[in-house]
Amino acid sequence: MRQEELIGWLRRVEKLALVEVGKDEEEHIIKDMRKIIEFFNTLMEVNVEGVEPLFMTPRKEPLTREDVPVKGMEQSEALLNAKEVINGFVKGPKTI
Amino acid sequence: MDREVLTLSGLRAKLAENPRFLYEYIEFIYDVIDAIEGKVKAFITLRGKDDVLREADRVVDKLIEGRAGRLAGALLAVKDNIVTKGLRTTCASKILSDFIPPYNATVVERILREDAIIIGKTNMDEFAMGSTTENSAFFPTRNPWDLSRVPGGSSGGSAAAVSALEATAALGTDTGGSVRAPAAFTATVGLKPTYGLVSRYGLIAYASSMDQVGPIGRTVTDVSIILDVISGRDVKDATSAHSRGGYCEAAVEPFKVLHPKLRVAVIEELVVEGVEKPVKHSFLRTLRKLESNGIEVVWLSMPISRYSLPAYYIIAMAEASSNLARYDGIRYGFHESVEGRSWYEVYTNVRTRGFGKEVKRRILLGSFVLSAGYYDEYYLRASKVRKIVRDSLLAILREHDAVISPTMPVLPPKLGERIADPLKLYAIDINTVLANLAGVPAISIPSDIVNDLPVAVQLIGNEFDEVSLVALARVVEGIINLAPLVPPLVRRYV
Repeated sequence: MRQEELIGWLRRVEKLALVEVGKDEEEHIIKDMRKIIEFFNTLMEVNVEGVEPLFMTPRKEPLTREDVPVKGMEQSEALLNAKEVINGFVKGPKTI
Repeated sequence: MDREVLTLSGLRAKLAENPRFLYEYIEFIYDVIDAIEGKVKAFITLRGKDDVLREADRVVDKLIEGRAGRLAGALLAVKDNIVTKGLRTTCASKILSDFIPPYNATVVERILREDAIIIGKTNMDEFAMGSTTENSAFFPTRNPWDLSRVPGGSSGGSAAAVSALEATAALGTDTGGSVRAPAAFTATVGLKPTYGLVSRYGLIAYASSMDQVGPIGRTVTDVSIILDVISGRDVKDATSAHSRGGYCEAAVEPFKVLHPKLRVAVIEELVVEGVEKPVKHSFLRTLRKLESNGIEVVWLSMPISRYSLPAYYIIAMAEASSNLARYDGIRYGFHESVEGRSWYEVYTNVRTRGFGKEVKRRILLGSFVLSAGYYDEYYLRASKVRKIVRDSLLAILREHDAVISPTMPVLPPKLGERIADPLKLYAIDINTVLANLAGVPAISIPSDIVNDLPVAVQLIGNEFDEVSLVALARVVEGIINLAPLVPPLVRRYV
């Protein structure tokens, strides 16, 4: 990958991941990323024709339980770690 | 302190005769902690002795009344990515440094139900991302065998605590080798169960299709006692499965479950390439010991194993980027005031400041391999390679009782040696990621001390057949005849 391409995709994934790389770290991160992507690229050597992807090892058991309501967590417990709470609501930033 | 009570099984036997010995045992553990924890730094959160002694009263009563659980007397260390109600759980990250879970993980409920006492939460690589415990946001843990070296990771704190006699045994987690690597580097036993055997409810997720909680102990038998307790179906984890049980029995009487003509396979790619000479020679010596004890050793090739490492990292990073998307400081964790700011600014700031370097790197790369235009080339392709790895490994396991390999390709590195270059760090997972990709169980057993440092072998077994794996591991442990090992740092206490 060319340098401009790498910087381009870094900016793009920063937006996707909501994680930013500081200007002072940028060069170092790009160098690491380049090496890691080259390492990933070795998979191109494998012939995967006709192979189905495996996302999770097959389960033999049913994934559901009986449809019987059970007691959940108390609201106060669930909100214990939230820093800004108003009337049982968690306060978040503007989305619009 | 008597050597016999260093193991969980020995401790249980002693407490059956004399329940009040538990108080003496607790004093001993805390004496050791006072002496060496400042150097080893295995714990992020350590419970006070008084708290533990108070809890012990209840356990002693139950022991006297003969109704104590299977883990009564055990002081267990729990890795800090497993939630414990009311006890701070941080994943060794700034972003959760003040998180107090309002609930227990299922594995915690199960160990508490059997009267274990949790002594503390152990240090780890941040969000389980690492193989040396140097990626903790707080401090690195040191190897009790050589304080200038790493204990392995990401369950380094758990393994160090067990190795240094600061706990009876521990719970760790393993996504790419994170129970087996630190077990190997600290001369303890670590087991990664079949994916699904142990509930992940309450395990803070890293890579959901591979994460598993696994026990770390001083012997195969100890590890199997814990496995019996924590394994089995949990309705709160849809990926969990029924457990056959009987792991402890299998360890105690292995030949009741094993047939006499044992045959193990060595995958040459896991020995021939990238394994340091002292480790390789030690491994070959171990193989000879097995052969002279009637175990057939077969060498074969599994070419796809060379690609398991990049496939693992692509998949793990992709899943991590998704699992870590929840950390925005709003419902829990590292917080920034939201007043008058956009969500983009708040979330980005919290995450950029709250996550460590390696975590950020994996989130960014994970997002990359899942992004449009790259998904097919990377994530989809890696998932196909994963299928080939699983099929190849299962085919070998149909014809052999287990695969055997060095657990780690190197001796425990010095602090700082591997951390500067990510590829150098990732490289040491080469032998362990196979089992995670395929979903099969694997166990690391100490096999040698070389240059005063621990070396271990790994056995990989068939899925949901931990009974045979544990039995075989016990046999191998018996042939090697080293366990339980005590590092020089704490030898004076036994």
